[in-house]
Amino acid sequence: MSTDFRPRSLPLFTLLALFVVALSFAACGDDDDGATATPGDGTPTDGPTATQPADIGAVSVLGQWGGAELETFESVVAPWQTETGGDMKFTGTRDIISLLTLNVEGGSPPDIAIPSEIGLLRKFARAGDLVPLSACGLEEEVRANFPQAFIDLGTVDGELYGFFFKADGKATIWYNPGFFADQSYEPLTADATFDDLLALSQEIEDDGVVAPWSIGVESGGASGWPGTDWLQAILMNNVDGGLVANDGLVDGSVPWTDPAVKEAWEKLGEIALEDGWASQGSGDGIVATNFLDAIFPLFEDPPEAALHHQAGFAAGAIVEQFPNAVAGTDFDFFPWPGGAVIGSADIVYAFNDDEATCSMMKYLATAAAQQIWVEAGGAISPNTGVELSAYPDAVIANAAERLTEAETFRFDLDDSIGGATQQAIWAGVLEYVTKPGDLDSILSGIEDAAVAQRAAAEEE
Amino acid sequence: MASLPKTSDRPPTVLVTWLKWLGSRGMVHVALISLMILWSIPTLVMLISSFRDPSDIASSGWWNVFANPFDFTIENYRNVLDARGMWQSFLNSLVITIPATLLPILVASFAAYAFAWMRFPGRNALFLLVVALLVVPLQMTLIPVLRLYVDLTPGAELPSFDLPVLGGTIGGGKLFGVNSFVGLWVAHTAYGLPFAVFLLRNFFGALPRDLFESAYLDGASDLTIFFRIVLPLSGPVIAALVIFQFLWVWQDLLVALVLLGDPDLSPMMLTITNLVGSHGTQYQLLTAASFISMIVPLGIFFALQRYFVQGILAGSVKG
Amino acid sequence: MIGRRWWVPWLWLAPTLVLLGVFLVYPSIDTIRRSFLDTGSDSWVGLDNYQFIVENPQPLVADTHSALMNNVLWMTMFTLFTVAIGLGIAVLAGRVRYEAVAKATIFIPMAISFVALSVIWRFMYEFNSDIGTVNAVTTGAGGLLRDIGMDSNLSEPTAWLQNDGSPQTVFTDAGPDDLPGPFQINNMALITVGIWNWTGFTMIILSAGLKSISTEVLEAARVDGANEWQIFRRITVPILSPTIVVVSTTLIIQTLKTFDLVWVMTGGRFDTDVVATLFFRQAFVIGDFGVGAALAVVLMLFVVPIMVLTIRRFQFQEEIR
Repeated sequence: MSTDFRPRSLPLFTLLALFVVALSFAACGDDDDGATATPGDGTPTDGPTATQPADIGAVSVLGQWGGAELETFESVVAPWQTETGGDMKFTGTRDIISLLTLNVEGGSPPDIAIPSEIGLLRKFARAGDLVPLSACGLEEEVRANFPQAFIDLGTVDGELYGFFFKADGKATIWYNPGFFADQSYEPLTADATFDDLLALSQEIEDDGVVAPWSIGVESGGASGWPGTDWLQAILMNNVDGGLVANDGLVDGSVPWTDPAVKEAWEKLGEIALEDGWASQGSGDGIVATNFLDAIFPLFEDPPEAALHHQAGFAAGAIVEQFPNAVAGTDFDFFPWPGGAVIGSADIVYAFNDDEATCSMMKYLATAAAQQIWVEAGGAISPNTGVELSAYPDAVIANAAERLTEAETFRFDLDDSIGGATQQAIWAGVLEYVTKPGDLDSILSGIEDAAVAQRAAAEEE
Repeated sequence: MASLPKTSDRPPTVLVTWLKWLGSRGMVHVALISLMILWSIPTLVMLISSFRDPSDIASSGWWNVFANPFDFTIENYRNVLDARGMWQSFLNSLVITIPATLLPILVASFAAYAFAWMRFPGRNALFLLVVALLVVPLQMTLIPVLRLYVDLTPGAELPSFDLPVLGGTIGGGKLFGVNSFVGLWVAHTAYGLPFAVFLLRNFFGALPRDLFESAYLDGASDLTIFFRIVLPLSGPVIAALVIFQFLWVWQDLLVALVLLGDPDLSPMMLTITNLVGSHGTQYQLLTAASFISMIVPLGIFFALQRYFVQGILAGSVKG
Repeated sequence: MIGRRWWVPWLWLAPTLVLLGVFLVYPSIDTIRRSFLDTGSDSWVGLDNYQFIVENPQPLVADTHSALMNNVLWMTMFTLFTVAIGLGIAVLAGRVRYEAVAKATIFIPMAISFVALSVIWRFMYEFNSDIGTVNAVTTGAGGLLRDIGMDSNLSEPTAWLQNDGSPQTVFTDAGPDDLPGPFQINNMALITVGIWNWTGFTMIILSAGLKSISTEVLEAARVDGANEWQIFRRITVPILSPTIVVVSTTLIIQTLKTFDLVWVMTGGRFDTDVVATLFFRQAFVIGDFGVGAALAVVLMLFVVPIMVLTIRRFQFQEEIR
């Protein structure tokens, strides 16, 4: 009387089987990529067989890339694989911070990690989980080829642990040159002032054709982060003593309740909270609009907004959304009034000094490797060895030049601090945009988180 | 003179008719179908979006489809199916999910039988402990488990063999511990136990006592009763458990990411999430990919429908 | 009745107990241990982490009170609706010929991975009413109302996931802007997604339970003249009540763990945090394992009253057997 488990619903299982076969045929023909080899097979699939390189082994890399970015990274690593016979095993996740924390805590870190915030670097370095660049013999080369600002950022307690891979410039305001020409608006230059920006915004609003700004800060669990870019740009450029304050916020010598900091928030409010200045409408609209979606109103036909403050990756997003857009003609940027440059980048650091790991670290730091991504578009390399001519268009070459040759340059503020303070700043932005009356309590809330974070770090 | 029927004796025709109408077949259909329509709207939105261009999705609502019925594309599906490693990760998903579905149900049903029909000291307390474990947050368990697995990982590898015609590899990875399918099976089994034991114990316990008594009188052992009586009668609940456990393991991302690690062994869920760029672009690929990954769990659901058959109990009591 | 040796039950239980011990019990103890240590789990801090939860000193980053209240809301509203609708559909679907299709329609949301779930509901809740379905409907309705002279807030789009004001502000300006506690628009919006997702779960289990009810009993009742509603109330529900308890208990416990949904849709921002998202952020994003573990322990403690109620249920059931 045992139950009969043989499938009786034959038609259904035939369907399933057909689906499986279809799937396999569709996937057929793409198994010749070198990056994902089948388990246990470390030899390269193409390249001259005359001299078979020694199989250097596998390197596990944890990063945040997916989709097209992942493909680009794999093309960056391909020459390394051919030359060394090594195999890169890349795991990508947007929750890289939590996965990295989990893995390190659980005793199973990757060989190399490529996140974009620095807080974890300090934590891991101090705990002894990382190997310094000198262990791979990489230190001199990095010191020679990267700007001092990036060297300092990768240094913890005097020891250099990480180098930077793919950078992006912030404090750039995007606009539609065609639209500007039609309306006779002038893009601002680096020595403009904040009042000039306000005046331009007012002019656009008075003309009544479009709203002056498009602002969106939604980003799931990271909602609010674009607002921090505004704050830092304003703080560094348009507030007296702002540069000192910026540095003070990072090292903890300046509290978030400092008047200079407060002034920066209030200036943010002068634009974001101004009625009718954002095409999204009210504060609710701003926090509900995804940061990517906020880029596009400038380039719709007809445009719905005139100005958008965003980092360099916006160019890539624009081209993806509007495939016919031409850099320089259809979209371009002008620097935030004041001209100080803010940048962010992905940092690369290693958890061990195995031969394969060191080999890949060395490779990723070279100008040649970084240039591959640069040529593919959408990335800036902080390596000074990369030629400006390698950049695919004038807009991004301009951005790259700004980044590597800036007089005043600072790393992204909230990425520099990380941890609870970063979470607090993001939450603060959301609060401020929807309930501006509470600025003082917001600032003291951020300061509380910062104090707690510093106290915890000191205990280690 | 014949007495008029009292008012209270007359049946309240209007009320009765109204109640009859409420309970009638018609209303059942109306209620059910409206719920079905309401429920399907988001799924429909997703389906339509998976056939649209990304620029269309961002600029207009899905209802515009009705205005331009031919403005659709299968590009998204093609991109997903062609995506690198999709076939291999589909195979990996099968290798991961099937044992991780069957094992916990087997293990749990033994325990559930003991909880339901055997007496031993501390039975109730132990059972409640098992159920209480439902609440333990997965992420916290992963740290000690990962530590344990790292220590237990041998160098030996699980044998793998290549599929002849269709391509791809089945198996592989280490024998146990991190980067091993076996380790993942064991972990998923453990995580699935509390709910399975809870559900099965409830159903086993509801079986009529007489069944067992006649079996005992006939001299049957526990094992016989378990395989000959309890399991066959539990068709519906075991079918339900298979559906859920399969679903949860099929859709799992975190446990695979942490305990499996090696991207060559990773399940479909990981490959799908990697279709989306780190800035969240190209989510129209996600909608297409989701439909593709949905087919197998749905297939299981339909296949198991026949186990939701009424009257099993009635038949066996007579026999 | 069977002359069992004393060790037989334990043999049947052994695999379960061993697996649970390694994968769930030991990590729980580890978690409890960490809740008394500092952020890096190095030194003893006593009850400091629990004090953090009670005092809520950093409402900007980690609003523990709001998270606890949100959990209570989820536990009640989510469970109630999911079980009720699931039961209703299980009963209704059992009576029609297209039962499998009906059940499949309600089940499909469960088969969609939660990542895709978030994508689709972001579309639904999109602020821009040209794209977002819900806002298109509400602003459309608002437009119609305005045409017949009734002004309301419906004609403006609502930020369903971001707005933490009180629910009636969707319709009208009357009443308070902010209700105390968790009664927020975005919480309701998230719970709706949860209900949409999980009703298939309750429906299937309750359906399995329904199928186990002997038809003879139902037929006898019908012959005796009872109508459907009476049968449902007096026969079906009581027989099904243990299953309803199992499903509800599972769901309530599930809401305590509800993480994926909230995390992917709002990340816990805008006051939608539940204890599970808060715990995850503290432990794995901020790196504070002390407070994180304490939150996890609080989660586990929530289970105790639920377990007490379940004990009573099962003991009652034992007695009638």
